[in-house]
Amino acid sequence: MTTSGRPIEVAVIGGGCAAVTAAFELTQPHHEGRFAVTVYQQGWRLGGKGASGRGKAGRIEEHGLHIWLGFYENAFAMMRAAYEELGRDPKTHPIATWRDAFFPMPHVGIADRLATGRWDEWMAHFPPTPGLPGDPLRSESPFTLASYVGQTAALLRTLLFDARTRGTPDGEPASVAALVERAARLVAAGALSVAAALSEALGVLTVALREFPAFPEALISRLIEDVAVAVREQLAGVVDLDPDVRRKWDVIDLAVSFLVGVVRHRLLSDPEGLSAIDRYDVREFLGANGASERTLQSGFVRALYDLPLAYEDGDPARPGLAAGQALRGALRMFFTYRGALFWKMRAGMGDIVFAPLYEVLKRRGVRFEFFHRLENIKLPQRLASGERPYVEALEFDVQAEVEGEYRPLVDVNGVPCWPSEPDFSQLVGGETLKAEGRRFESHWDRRRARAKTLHVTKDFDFVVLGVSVGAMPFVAREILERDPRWRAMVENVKTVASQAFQIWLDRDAADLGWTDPPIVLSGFVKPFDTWADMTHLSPQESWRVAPRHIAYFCNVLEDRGDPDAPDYEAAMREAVRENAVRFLKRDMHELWPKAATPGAFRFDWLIDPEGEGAQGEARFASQFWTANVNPSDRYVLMLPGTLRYRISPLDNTYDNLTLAGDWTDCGYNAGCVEAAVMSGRLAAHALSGTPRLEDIVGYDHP
Amino acid sequence: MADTLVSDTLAEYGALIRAWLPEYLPKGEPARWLYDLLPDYPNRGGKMMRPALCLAATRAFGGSIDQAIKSAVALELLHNALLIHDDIQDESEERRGKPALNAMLGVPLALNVGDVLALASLRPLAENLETLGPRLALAVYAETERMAWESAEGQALELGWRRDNVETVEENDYLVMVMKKTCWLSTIYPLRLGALIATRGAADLDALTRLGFFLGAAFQIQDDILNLEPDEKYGKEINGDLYEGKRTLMLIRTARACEPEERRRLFAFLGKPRVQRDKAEVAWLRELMQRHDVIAYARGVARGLAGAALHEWEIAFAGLPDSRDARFIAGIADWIFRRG
Amino acid sequence: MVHEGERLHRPDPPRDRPIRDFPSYARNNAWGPRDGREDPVSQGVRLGYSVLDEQMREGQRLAERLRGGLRGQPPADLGALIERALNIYRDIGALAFAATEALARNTARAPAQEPPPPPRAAPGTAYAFEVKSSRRVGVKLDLRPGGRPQVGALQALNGAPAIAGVGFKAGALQLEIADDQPDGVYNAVVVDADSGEPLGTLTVRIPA
Repeated sequence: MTTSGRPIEVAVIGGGCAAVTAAFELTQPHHEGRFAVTVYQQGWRLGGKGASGRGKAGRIEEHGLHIWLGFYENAFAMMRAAYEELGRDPKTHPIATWRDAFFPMPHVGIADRLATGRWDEWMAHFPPTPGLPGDPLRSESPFTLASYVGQTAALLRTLLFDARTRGTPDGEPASVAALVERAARLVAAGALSVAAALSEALGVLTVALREFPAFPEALISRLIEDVAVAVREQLAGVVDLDPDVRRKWDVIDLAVSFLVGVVRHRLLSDPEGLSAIDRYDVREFLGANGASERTLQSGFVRALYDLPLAYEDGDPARPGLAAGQALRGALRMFFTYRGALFWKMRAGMGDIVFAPLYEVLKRRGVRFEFFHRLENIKLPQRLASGERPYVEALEFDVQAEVEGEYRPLVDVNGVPCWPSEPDFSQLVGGETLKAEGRRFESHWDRRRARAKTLHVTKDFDFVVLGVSVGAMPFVAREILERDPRWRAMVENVKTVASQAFQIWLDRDAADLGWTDPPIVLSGFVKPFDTWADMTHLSPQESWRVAPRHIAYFCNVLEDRGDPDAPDYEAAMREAVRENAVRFLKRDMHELWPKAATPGAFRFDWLIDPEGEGAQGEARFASQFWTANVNPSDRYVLMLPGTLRYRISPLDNTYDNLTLAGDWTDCGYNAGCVEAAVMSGRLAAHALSGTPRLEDIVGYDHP
Repeated sequence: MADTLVSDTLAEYGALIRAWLPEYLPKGEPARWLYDLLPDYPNRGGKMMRPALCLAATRAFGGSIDQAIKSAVALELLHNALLIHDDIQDESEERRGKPALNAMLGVPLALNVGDVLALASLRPLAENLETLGPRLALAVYAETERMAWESAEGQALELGWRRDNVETVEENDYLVMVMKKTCWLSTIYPLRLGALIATRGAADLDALTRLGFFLGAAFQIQDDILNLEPDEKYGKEINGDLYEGKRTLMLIRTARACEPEERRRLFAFLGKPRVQRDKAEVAWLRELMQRHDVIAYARGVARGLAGAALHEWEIAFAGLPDSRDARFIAGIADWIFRRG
Repeated sequence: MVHEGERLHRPDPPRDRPIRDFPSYARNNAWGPRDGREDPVSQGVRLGYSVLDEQMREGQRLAERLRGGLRGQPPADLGALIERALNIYRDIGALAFAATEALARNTARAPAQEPPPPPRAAPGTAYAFEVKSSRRVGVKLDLRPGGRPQVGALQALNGAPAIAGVGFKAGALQLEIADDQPDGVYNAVVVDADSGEPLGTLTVRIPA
């Protein structure tokens, strides 16, 4: 509490994942009302890049594809707590518990282009693991690189050798000394060309890494090097064209390259852990450590880039992904998922995540100011000697005045949702605003009802800046002018635009020619290399006749044209429409052979929510597509050499300001929900001391 | 057991090095001002620990003396060159029981002698080309270059702290400086070199870096302790470090432990030029250190580091056959405290 | 809302970055029960390791910087690979060693550099290796200096056909291995062409 006994006023700017998480943490019951939080959000809905709306026929309209991974411990923990606190009645509410909201998706697909030119889809099934994401974790087992390397060695052993040679080394040695002796013997013997020796070496390695650092790093390194040589020798002999065999060796090659890289760069004892190799691109790193060109161009590695849109400026010819973070992500994804590898949401992300959070926060007393767009962060002109800079004022544009308090949610089939359009009837002069065609979420529509300035101490004490880094040049001009670190951050932490489209069809998967289980597939051809079957959403929407198949496609969108041109937004949107139509005609036959032939697509199978509609290609206009070109909607990249320019929410340069977002230095520096939630928790820690850093799962991680 | 192993080995290798040194210390003119002065420091009877570590490491890793002898000689020449420079930088008056070279000749001539000794160390390294082949000779050269940079950095740190009377030097800063200035030349480089030469680059040299660091750090701290509480064999002036204002572990600890008033007086003392540091003040400082028990503390730290050295020795020599040379290297960890 | 004066400051967090190397952190920060006064011995060890870890990190960067400037030195692992492939050990004469150097230098594509001074042995005792094979093979040449080496076909112990495509020509050891040559170990004695006295052995290993 402040000295006068009033709560500390926190202005949370932005309503995306990180910002909302910060609000959630600062208003936890254990704070006992110490913080009074106000969320300032432009437009009519929370969510930021995760916002979704409901359009015609109550159909869900998203920014893109949002998949949750089974290692999103912080994000799931928050959602489970929120649903618990909401206490929705399962008898009346279609989505009452978190298990209603999220369901596991064990199948993953990678698209590979075969030597014949045809596309082959590889389906992987990842077995469920014990526990569920968000379950409390045992605190005495911290994440260590040694443990991951050990698991990789075990994985290699499983892949290379069949059940006969699998299992623990005969008579697991009792002591580290005995283990050292065995390892030294293996190393002294030279090349592990005999399968049994290689198997034993991998077994010893797995056990040795558990004992690290009691087990000398030098010996581990030697063992790994010898294993790598032996495996590569075997790999050189693999000329099999059979895709399944080939893929197994891709994985083996990648695993071995990872191990060799760990040794070469002495990552096991590097205080920076995997971040030490963030200056390399991941393909470059794996290649430098022996991965073959074929492996580097395989569907796995392509998907590694496609899923996080890792293309500089959206240019498919310029992939870029920091090796350290990429490997960190891969290790977390494969080795630490709980329940299932992927989890899907049963409705739009806005409905599943942001509506419940909004309701919980409202109950806790958080105030929401919609239609408030931040214009400028004002710093003091002069500082006293030794005084740290701080935020003196926040200048907003109030886009529209609201009659009373804005009620943002609508009901669709019993589920509170965000609409795709604002409720003009709640706005002062709403009819006029609607007639004027106000686009409250558009960066290019600067119209406003009035300006509004908040002053430090009078209107706020602390600020959580949750706008995305793409918006920084527009809202933080003063900071950027004075602060070289922020300039470096904005310059280096680059973003890309993305494009997405969604189609609803009156045929089911089998009719389309897809005979495998519903999946998410990535690594496919640009511009829409990621595709997901979202038919499970159908019951949540309000179609007269339910669609039998819903498909989402998304990808990076290359920066073209002049963003300052007046029709930029419209032009980009049109470009996406053209991309989508061309894609359906040209490429879709690979995945849906019955719905398309090269050059043609069954557009007549698309469902028009407003009735019969146009025929042929023009029918596509009834579907949903989006060009996510707003600066704050741009997806954040992890380009090599740039992660060190990120600034942490814990950074205390401006002593009443903290940052929140997946673009900050939050321990897991990737563009995803988990990073955003971690960042929001860090922002809360910065202001209040909780949650403890040790409780932010995955923050302390190699 | 290790009673005479270390001293015997030092004597043996020392004699070998002494026999080789004249090869690289030519005669010529001007004699009085240069050539006759070259053998002065080398002949003053040092323990030859550094080249001995190099030769022992070579043998322990399976090599032979003749592979490493030239590098060891180069090392000893360079060490002596740096001793001369050290004495100049510290304005020393005595070295190994005789006047320091700068005291005998004045700084300019002594500086020149030091430079030439450093120059002289290049010839044996060049001759490695023939003995070891170009690739390995180049690797030895690279190690030498690395060591020279580290030494220079360490020296810069120490001198800089003194010149600017830096008050914020902590114990870990001290260890960083010691690692660079002392350990690289005295222990890390000789051990690495031996393993490098013997195994033609196959050995894991980092293990020797670790071993060398702990050995060298223990060695240096013990050296500093002896400066304040010498035994009769000690060859430098007692309390000389205090006159120099050298930032030893003990001084740093004293600065942290004493009262603010004492601290002010301490740094005022350190801020004076050396000539103005009088006997009374030095006595006061010495008593201050005694009162805060820093010498006992430093003894403990040195013991701990020596213990860590032995631990690292176990790791570095794990896969090698037992040998007198390997045991000699381990024995150094204890000899540090007995040598005087 | 009217509030009185004092502007609030964020607290400084005790820790502002993630712990990425848990084992070292645990060691340096006395993970586990910790009493007030640590004895100097443990303190010294703890401090020593903490400084050492950081210095080794720093040192690696320095070493990389220095190593980068030295031309003509093939990367360590390439050199090791070549050594291993040719199975050269310390007890082989300067002859074979110089041959290895030539091979290592060629493979590393070092920029223009003076060839090393020839070893002080009989003239014409440096050999290049010219190996023609579609597979990786191990070649070991164990030779005394001097003489004019001559070698016959390489024989296997297991009855496989001999490798005939081998010979010393114009200062080079030429070796040709057919694609269908069975794997295994093949040996031949190298003799002096003039006196017929043995000079050494040649071993070729074709891995399975």
